[in-house]
Amino acid sequence: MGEIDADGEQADGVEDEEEDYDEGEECDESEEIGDQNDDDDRDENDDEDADDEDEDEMDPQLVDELDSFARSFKDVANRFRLISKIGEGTFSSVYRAEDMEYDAFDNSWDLDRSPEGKRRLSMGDASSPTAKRQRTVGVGPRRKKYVAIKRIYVTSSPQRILNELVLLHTLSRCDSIAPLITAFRSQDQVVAILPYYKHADYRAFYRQLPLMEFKYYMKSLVTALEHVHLHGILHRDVKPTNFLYDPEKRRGVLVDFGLAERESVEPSYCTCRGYGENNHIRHITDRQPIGGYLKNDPRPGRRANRAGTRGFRAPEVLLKCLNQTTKIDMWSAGVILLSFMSKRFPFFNSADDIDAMIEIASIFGKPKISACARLHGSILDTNIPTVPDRGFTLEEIVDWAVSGTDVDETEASTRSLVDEDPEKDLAFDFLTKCLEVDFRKRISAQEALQHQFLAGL
Amino acid sequence: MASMIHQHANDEVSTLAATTLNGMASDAIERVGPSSAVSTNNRFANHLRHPSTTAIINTGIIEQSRACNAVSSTSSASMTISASGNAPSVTLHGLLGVSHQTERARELSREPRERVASLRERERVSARIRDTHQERERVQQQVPTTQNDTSEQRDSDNIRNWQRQWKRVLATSVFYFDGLEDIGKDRTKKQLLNYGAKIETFFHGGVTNVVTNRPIQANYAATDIIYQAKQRNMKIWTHEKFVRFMSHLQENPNASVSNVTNSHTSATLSRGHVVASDTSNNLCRMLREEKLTGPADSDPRARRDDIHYFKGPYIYIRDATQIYRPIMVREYTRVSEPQLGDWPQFRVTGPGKCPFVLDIQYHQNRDVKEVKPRRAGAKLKRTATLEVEPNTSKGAVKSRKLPEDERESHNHIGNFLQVHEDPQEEIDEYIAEDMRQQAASFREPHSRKKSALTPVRMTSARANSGSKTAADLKARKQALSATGRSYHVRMSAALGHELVATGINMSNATSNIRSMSQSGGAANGLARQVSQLQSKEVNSLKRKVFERSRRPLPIPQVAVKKEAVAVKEVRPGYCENCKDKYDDYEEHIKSRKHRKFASNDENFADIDDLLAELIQPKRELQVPYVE
Repeated sequence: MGEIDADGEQADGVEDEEEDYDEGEECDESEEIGDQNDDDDRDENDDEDADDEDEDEMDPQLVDELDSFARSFKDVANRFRLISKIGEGTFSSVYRAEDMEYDAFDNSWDLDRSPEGKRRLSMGDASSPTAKRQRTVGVGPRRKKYVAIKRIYVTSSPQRILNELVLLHTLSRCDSIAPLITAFRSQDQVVAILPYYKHADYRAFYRQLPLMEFKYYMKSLVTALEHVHLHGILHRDVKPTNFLYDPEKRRGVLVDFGLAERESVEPSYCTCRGYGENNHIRHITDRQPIGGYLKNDPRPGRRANRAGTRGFRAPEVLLKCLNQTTKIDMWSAGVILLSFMSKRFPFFNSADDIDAMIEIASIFGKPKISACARLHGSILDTNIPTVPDRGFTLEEIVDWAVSGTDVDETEASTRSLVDEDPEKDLAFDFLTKCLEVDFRKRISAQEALQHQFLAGL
Repeated sequence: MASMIHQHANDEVSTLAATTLNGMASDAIERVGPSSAVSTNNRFANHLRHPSTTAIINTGIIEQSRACNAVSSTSSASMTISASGNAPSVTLHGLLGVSHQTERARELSREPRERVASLRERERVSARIRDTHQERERVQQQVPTTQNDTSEQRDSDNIRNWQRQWKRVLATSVFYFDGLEDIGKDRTKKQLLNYGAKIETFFHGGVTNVVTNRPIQANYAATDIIYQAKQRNMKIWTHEKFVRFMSHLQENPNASVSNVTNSHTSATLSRGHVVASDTSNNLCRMLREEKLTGPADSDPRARRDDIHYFKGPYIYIRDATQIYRPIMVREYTRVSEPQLGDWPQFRVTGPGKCPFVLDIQYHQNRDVKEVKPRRAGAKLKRTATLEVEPNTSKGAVKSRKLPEDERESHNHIGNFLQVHEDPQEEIDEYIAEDMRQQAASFREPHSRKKSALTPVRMTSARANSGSKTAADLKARKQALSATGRSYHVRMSAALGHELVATGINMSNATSNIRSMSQSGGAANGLARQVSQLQSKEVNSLKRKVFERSRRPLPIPQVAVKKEAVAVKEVRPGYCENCKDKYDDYEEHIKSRKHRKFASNDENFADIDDLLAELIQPKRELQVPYVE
């Protein structure tokens, strides 16, 4: 997403504005609540890259868009002042807006609301009596409050929209998940109002942050996932752009439940259910061609939900398992950690599912991937020479990734952050458990929070 | 498989033919029990005399003749239907004569090349059978029926009697299933056990019945289970027949009779239909299977025209249940060195970059020395990579389109490899450069560690063992942990840096290469045809040189995408509400169809319910927080 430059700029700009009203040190951040990102990159047809749309705030096209959006949606236009577009995805666009009537509403969703608000207010009170008066009535110039407006494209079915809103609403009770403040509809146009979170771009910090610090990232992410999973929900699109992290506050929020779904109570059949028991395929003699494939195969394709972002899909998603569990999110979390530890983002390119499979196999080796394929009722056959017979450990991969290339001088210091961390072993253990190709052995969010790597925080 | 289909089809057809004659005749063939043989034959004979029967024979004559002929002309039919059952079919044969078309079909099935045609023929036959049915239906409606309730009663009694006798027999039977191990969930097996029969996992002398999925032939090898079964007078069933038999055994004769309001003939008719649709289903299924697995009666290792055989490196993930087409298939162009391969693999890339994407920029920047201008060489012939998109309908195999730049980049690689005919020159060049680099990096404290850790460099420095830089390297290497080192060897191997392994005896190899490349006519561009050792080593070096190549190898995806985004004015997509694809979002949402959907609140009733819950409460306290 184009948040790298655009967001940084915006954040700065906002802070400047606020200095006029507030002297408090922390309040700068507390006011600005975040950013929302949708990603072109996700979903079945993910051929767009994440970072290819840097929005220029002055883009006349954007101005038009904001205008037309405001015009078409009076409710929204009256209360919120649209500032900029901060994300665009397959099913929605996200805008940053100022909440003009913030004080008129119950803002229990606002994490930084009361205690700081009080303090700030009293400070403001002392310094500026007019400010006090204005706040009291809740109108007029005052400290700005920002929200993220998610405008769901009208081509989305009501079911899809409802699904996202319901899930957001269900999950609103966790500090690590962006709560739904409210939502509106005007004919086919539905908008969701979410808090705007200040966050840093993942690319901006993943190579600088020490492992000790990144633990907070993981902890926060896994806490969010635990909450999501506890409700039997799969997020399906866990990736840095959907986890808005503020390194200073050590706080992150999971956003975008556009692809989320409930774990089915009665999942469709995949051989991975009851694998090892009597009911899995055992006696079937494979009569399909070997060493080649049928040119015009009349059989139907295996179909499964593959929604998600390339490079973050778990092996079972790639193998079109019909029995996908919340563990798919833990894989994605593992990919983030791998990317952090190897100092490479993205770690997997995965132009498509086949490439993704080969990339995963390049790490874990043929036997492990074969076993994983078998688990999901498939037979893997490959002679790709770079797919090793014996897989690498993730420690080997990370070692290679951080040292296998020339590193500039600033890098040299960051590399040692992982190298010399006393808890490096714990981190690798944790990483290995997240990136377990067999979802049954993969660590759950709940277990992950108990893992020593995170438990100490 | 071909002849098996044939057999099964014929078996079915014979049943069908008999059914058309009369329902009881069908029973005669189908329900031949050990003790009811005579009575069924009698019944059959009686029914043949029935006027309606005669009419049917006359009308459906061609189709039935083919069917019946098939039965009698296949010696195995007598086995499946059993001795007593054979009689009626022979009678039919005698009545109807040989059909020319059946002959042809059989001929075709013998000729493997024509198998597809033969399959089609059979499909056609089964379709005709269905047609014949309709025809018969018509005729039968015209024929006055003389059946009465008492005969129906008698029939159902007969059926019940037949069932009872067979169930008694089954209670003491021992079954062996030949080639049907995978049909474990088969309901018929369960049913069989319910009747008290035993099912043996292994064949032995105590078995009384053998059910096979193979076609029944006249002769078997002495080691064949069917042969042994025949020797021991065991009853041999084809699986099809067995399944049919079991379903008849369960059938409630009263139900089938009493359901019929009109007459016995229509009861027969409905039965006939069932059989007919079974027939076509089975045929379809078998045809499908044959298309997938090839004819079972031919050598499975024989090359088939309908299969694409892999020539290059591939990944192939197929469905173990065989229900779905492969989940992933992709084949890559064969390359002399793995790292030239088109598939994702670990690459040495710049800081922060994805390790699976060739990082041209990085290699360009790293390039210290000028690469000599290269002569244009023969282009590496590059065939398009094939892939099966599991998502595309019909599993169409399509050629993977490579963006122009990528194709070009591969040509660069090709050119590069082809052009460097003199490996020794390259080696020298490379080593010289590397030495320079090693020396340079030694002076910079920061880059010490890194160069030692770079597999490529470590490799080449090793190749220079004995030199001053190699000594440096040795010292640096000690900084590496033991695991790190062994890892690098392994990793390098995985990355195609075989030199780490083979490069240890590089000094020997060098002279080796030199002599070989000279004798191998390297200068005329044929170097690649000399021995394995040379090509392996030399190519490793070439690869390294390639990594340093200054030639721009643009990453096509990025370039293409940037453009696409820039052009993006109208947004095409799919409207889930109108179930329509559109070229322009803005345009579509104004369309009448879409507005109609949008303005109908009913479509959003559920959302509205939720929105009501989501109304943000007004703040109760309109007074300041403080004081």
